[in-house]
Amino acid sequence: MRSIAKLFGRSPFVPIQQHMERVGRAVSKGQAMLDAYLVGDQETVEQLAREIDQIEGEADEIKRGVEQQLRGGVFMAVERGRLRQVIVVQDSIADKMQNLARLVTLRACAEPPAFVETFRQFVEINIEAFLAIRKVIDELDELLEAGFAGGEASTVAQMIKHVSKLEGDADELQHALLKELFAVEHNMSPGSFFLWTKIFKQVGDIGDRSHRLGNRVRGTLQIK
Amino acid sequence: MSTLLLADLFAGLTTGQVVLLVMALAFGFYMAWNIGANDVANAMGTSVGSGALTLKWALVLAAVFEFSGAYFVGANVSETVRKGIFDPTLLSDPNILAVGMIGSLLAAGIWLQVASYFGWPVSTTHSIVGAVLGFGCVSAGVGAINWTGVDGHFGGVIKIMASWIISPLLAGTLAYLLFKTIQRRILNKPDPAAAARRLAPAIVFFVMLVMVGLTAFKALTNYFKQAPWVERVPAIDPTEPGNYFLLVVVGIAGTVGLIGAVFAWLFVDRVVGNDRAGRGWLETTQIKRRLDKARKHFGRIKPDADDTLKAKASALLTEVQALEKLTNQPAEVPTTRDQYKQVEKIFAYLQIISACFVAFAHGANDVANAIGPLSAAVQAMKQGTLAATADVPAWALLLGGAGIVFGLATWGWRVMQTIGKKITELTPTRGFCAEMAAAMTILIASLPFAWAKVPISTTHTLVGAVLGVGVARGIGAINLSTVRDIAASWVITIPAAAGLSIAIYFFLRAIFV
Repeated sequence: MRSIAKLFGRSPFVPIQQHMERVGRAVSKGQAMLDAYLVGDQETVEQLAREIDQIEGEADEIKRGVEQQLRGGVFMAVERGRLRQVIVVQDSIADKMQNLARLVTLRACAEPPAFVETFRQFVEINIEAFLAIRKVIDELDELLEAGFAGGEASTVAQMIKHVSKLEGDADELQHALLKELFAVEHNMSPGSFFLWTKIFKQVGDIGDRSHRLGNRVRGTLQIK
Repeated sequence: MSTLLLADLFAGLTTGQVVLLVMALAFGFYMAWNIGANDVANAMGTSVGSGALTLKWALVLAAVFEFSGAYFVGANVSETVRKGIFDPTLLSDPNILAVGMIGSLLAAGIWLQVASYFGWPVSTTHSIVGAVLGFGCVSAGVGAINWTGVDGHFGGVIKIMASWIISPLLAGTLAYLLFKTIQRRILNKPDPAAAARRLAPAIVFFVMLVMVGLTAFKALTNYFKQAPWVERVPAIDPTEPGNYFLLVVVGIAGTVGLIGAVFAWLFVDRVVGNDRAGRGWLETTQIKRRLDKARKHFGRIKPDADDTLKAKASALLTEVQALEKLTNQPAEVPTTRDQYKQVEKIFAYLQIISACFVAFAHGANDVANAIGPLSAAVQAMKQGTLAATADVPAWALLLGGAGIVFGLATWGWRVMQTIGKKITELTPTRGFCAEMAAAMTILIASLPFAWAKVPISTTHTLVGAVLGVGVARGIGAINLSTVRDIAASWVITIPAAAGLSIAIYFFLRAIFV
């Protein structure tokens, strides 16, 4: 009787972590792309944008696989709907990188803007928030081992709290950055102004989505 | 008492009966082979998969425990299969009983073969009960079937079928509770590896106590009924031999359990080593958690206290918040991964014990599927009467046990290997819980109580136990379609096996009776 062997479905956490690996690659390429953009190296920007496109495609593929896997007939340690939310939000981070790639390939950045230092900090902190949530996703195995409760769950909750804090910091920084942008608006073409606000939005969304992903994972924890 | 001499077995039979006897032995052995080949892997497969046991050792342990279970405890359930479904004394001719029981063995065997060809999760137990039921209906009549039990006692076919629903449910509940306990006592502790090390001896004690206790209870029942010295030995209450008996059983089980616990205690440090690495992060996270709690509690004082108290509480609160800021560096990712690896390593060994327990319980319950009908057939021919009281002969238990071991040696190891590779999701902690729950359920069902002695499906009980762990959020994903298939096969097996058995019965009766 081999029904015992047939009883075990494929764990949904493995593909979610594989997907996270792709998203992580897209984000680090994105950071390199922004660096190249700021120094006017448009060739590297184009190259990295193509790579991000490809990675985003791979991530999409994995996401579709997970959604397939989440279709009925399987009883999971985490509610089906919650897992779907996790993968959807996670995938949207890769989408943000793709949007960013579209924006910075529109036209080259002629000279570094006045707010370049604040902008770099802003990118840094959003990526830090992302890396923090990536660590949480890497903890999914341990969470399953612990049954999503107890010490491991509170450790993960702490990590998620840290993500929220970073996201809050990023929000404040975005406000400061916008102020700097408006301070130099008269020395800037309307097109550049428009483009920069768009870029800020996409970068800020990385932290925002990381925070949202944290909330989704938090929903799976059992904390007293 | 019967002997093992073949000549004795064949003495005084007609030629037709000799042929029938050979068939009975062959089909009974085939059935036992089938059980050994397909079902035993459930018990040991996980331990092979996790690498705690080599295939060779798994085979040796499975053989030893299956055989002992079949030989020492197997008789209870065999009795139910033999005469609990219908009363054989209602038949006019002993040869009819022999033919019917042989036909049932053959029918169940064929059905199992067909089912495994198509990959259906069919139970050996359900097949044999269905087959005997079918033959009983046409030979003794539907009215002769013991549907609801005799003399107003709950029993008969309804009880057997109810047990098929109750056993997975019970195993599931037990597994859920066991896993929750392990979660609370080990996995959710700040230092899971140390907790597992500390608890391992207690777990071994518990497993041994239950296993040895239940076995000793059965094995010693008959002995205590006859032993003349029982009354002469001072006991708690000498007029009540039952008390003394229970005391002995608990004493034996406790002693064996203690020995096991001592071994576990000596052994556990060798398994995982006794390193205290990775404690730094532990302390930081604990301090953080405590400060967090303190802040919450001070916050709660504020709204419902008088002014002086409020002022003090808020002063303390600011202090706690300041302290918290000190520790509020980003949390280092703790290496819980290594901790859990150690826990699993310890449980891989504990799982060997629970797997032996499953093998034992499985032998005790499932041997009945082969030797219940076999011994009924042989006795009917040998004694020429339809005695309803005779014991299950020892040689039959021996034959059943040997058949299971033979099945294991010829085919079962292959299944064990495949299963071991496929169920890596069942980590040792999970496997231990599921196996303990299933084994306890199966062994309880095999005990000589009036309410027990039921042939249940080992596989389905184990499936129930795995689901129990799943409900406790212990397993990533469980295919519910398998559960549905099992339910469906349940419904099909009874009529299919019954129909086959009826056809074979008429065929054999035309030739031999």
